Amino acid sequence: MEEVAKVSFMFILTGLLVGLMFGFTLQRGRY
Amino acid sequence: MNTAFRDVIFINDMTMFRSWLLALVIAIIGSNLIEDFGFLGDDGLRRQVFSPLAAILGGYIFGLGIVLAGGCGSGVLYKQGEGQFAAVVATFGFVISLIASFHGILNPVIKAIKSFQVSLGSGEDAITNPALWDFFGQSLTIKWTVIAIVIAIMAAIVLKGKPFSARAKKGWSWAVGGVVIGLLVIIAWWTSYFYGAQARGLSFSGPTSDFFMFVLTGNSQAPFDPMFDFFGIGTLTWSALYVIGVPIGAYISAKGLKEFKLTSPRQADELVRVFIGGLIMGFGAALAGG
Repeated sequence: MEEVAKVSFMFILTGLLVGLMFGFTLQRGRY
Repeated sequence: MNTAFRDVIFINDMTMFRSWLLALVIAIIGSNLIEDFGFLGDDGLRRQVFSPLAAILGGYIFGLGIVLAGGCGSGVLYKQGEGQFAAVVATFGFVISLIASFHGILNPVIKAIKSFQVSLGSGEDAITNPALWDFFGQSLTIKWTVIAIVIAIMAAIVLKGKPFSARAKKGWSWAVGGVVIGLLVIIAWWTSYFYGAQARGLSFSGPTSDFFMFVLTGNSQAPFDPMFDFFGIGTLTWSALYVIGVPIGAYISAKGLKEFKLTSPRQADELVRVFIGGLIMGFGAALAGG
């Protein structure tokens, strides 16, 4: 798919945060 | 996912399976609510084409792979954050077969098996990516009736027996983990739509390929998802970013519980096993569609 825009601060922050919270939860829950 | 099914089959323990179902219940309700209230734009939740053969075969192969690898896609990523070297090796196998399946020599095989598709209706009105309720009708009433029946069945399994008698010694209980994961799935549907320009949710096979393709070639080469210019270094999808966030989050959690420890299997054949498991689950995941 074609490139649509440059990354924004929120693009990077939300992407990393979703992963960070998910990884944190998986570890806490012993999944 | 690996833990949820493994515990039911091998030690007859429903705890993690309950947690997985609880996360699904919350994710199904929340994701469809934000879709129906218009928070995901005109396209809504991205549903894949219905390819039963690929789904069944891919799911079976994926199941074999995750048992050998010791975790599913997100499982091997978070276990890296705990310091498990075997998870790094499993991820290595996972990435190789994912990229071979999406972009390399295995792609023709994937395409051939996925070409067996089932649609509802015909002509311009055909639904190529039907949801379960599409088999019964198109109205919101039918949709939420089907969802209610599915949720009732799942809830009955979650609440069967004495679900709250088993508690984790450290970390979170199955119920807290299930609720948080369900909420994160809903959040990911919205953030992937709002910041990533495509409601993609929280899958791991495509995004893991996106992340490593970006690292290795400078281009995620995502076939269906919008890509963004990353400071002139390359192009990547929004979803590629959460792939790197998972081991970091797990590392923070493990450090907090004093559980972080660099570990490696003593037997070399175990490393070979997890590597082959990673290879198998990568192909299975790509075939099944996530």
